[in-house]
Amino acid sequence: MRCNEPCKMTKALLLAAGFVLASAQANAGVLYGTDYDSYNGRSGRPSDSLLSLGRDGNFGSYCQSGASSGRRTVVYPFDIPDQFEVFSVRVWGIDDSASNNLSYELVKSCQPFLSGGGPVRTVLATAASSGTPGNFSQLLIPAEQVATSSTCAYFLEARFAPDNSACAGFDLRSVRVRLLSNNPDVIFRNGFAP
Amino acid sequence: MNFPLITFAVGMLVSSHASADPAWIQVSNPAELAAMGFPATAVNVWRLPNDSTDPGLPDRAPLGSTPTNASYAMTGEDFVTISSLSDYNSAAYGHLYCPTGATSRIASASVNVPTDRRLFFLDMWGRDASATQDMSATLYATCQPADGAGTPNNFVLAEVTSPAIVGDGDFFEFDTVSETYFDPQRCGYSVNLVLGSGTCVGSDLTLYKVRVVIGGNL
Amino acid sequence: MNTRWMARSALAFVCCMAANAWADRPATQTERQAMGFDDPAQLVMVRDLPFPADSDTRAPDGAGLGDEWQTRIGTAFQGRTGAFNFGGQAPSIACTSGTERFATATFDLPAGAAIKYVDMFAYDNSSSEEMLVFLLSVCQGTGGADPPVSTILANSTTSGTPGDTVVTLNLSSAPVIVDRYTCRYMVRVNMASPGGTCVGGSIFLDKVRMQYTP
Repeated sequence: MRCNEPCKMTKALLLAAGFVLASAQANAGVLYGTDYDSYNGRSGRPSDSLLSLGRDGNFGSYCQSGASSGRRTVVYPFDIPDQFEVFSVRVWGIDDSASNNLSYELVKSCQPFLSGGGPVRTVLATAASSGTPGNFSQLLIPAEQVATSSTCAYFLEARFAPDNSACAGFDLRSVRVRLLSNNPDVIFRNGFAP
Repeated sequence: MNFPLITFAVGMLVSSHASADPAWIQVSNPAELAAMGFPATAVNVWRLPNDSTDPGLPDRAPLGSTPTNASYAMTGEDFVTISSLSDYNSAAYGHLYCPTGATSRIASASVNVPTDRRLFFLDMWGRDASATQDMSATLYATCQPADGAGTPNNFVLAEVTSPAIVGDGDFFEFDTVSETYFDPQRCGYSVNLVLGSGTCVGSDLTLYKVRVVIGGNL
Repeated sequence: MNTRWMARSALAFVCCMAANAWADRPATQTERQAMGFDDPAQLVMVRDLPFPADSDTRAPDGAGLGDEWQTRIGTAFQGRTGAFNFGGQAPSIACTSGTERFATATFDLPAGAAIKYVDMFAYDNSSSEEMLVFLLSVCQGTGGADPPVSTILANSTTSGTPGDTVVTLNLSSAPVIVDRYTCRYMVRVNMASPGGTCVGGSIFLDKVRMQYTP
């Protein structure tokens, strides 16, 4: 059967869809101990209950708040086992806003092991969308790459606008967040699954 | 020579076993899309049909006794409503329902499963004491290029719907799925929960738990 | 108290007596209210630790025992209902106003892990209220169509006005063994006890950390 233009587009989509899912058994990363943790955009927790978040058709999130009191950040907490290597965090989003950009901070927050003490935040890496690129993807590579989970917590903070300022609504969306980490104790590539 | 089609066929052959290759079906019915929480005009939602003849589906009992991460469960606290200002109630028991009369009745949770694990079952426990409405849980993969920007595509991997009322409404239902492997390098995984249609009926539609049952590497 | 509740209480009690060295008992009304369990028809059990906790040596490197940690920051906690008003810079949250003061975070531990300690890092400068912390399991078997059984595994509280503080649930003498196929494990806080009205920046939840042996 001859394939007209809509048919070709459908085939291309099916190709992308099928190839992505059919190749799931391909190795992820170079080292066998690598692990990908993927989170949809709407799973990010708002920093305060005044923040109005909506969900788009891809489980992404966007900020609907106007110029009112409150924070404009959502937080993606990570589970990183102690002494794992933190290779990178990749973010995906959509920026159709001329007024706002999505900015990201990978944060380490530490407290004493077993005594009172306020959290000490350290920003390990930053990234941001810029202009109006439409679909975008950015990579955050931390300066410090070995996790200390006995005393520290790790999370990504995404900011839609300065605090107390108007957000860009549907034009600015956080779609997905992916952490890449590695278990340094796994050295065999075949036959010794973690 | 039709390289895209050959690549597609080879890709599917790499992962499938003796069963027939599944054919992804685009979800295009506006009412169906809206009921799942997608825009009615969405063009990036696909469904994987069940293949209940797949000889690879294992007996459930041994899966629960494996020492590895053979499942990932979500209770009420793991879900976020479609709008952060929507009202909800977990009743402190890890449940989830929307208050009677509320209009926001969709929530979602992220699913965190290791790479290359096969999906076997999507389980749902809950309470359906409504004579007119049902609740459903759907497992999606939202996929993009692994290392760059790109338009997301959504794939329906499994779906569970509450049954007609039995007794006081408490139920357990599950879905078996065709051969599918998790690939968090390229995809994020989410469970979308829909509590009825129209306005909420309160605790007559209550989620207790959703669980994804997986296997080891094959 | 309906017959279904009584039947399941009896079943849960017998089940737990057979499986554990300690006794699980139905929660009292006071315990239920402190934890935010409002529905009297739902089953809530309490695990009473029979022995004093071991004076285990704890160290950031797991004291050479191979222990691991999993943490939930305050921002990761979700309110019991949509009426939970909160704010703060991550990782911390405070319950800013109103009477919805309960928030919960789930933990995702490997099967067979032995939970030994749960440490809550907080700030308490309130002379009228304390923050309570509870370790819960919510369990439901495959195929079973009854509601899940909630069990309070351990609990504690801040005390006085210590400012920055750590409150520890010490289960080292009888660790909780994780059954992730049947159960979900979570930590709940009550951010204003006993008064019940949130006190804003006088009480903050920074994080909760579990220490376990894989």
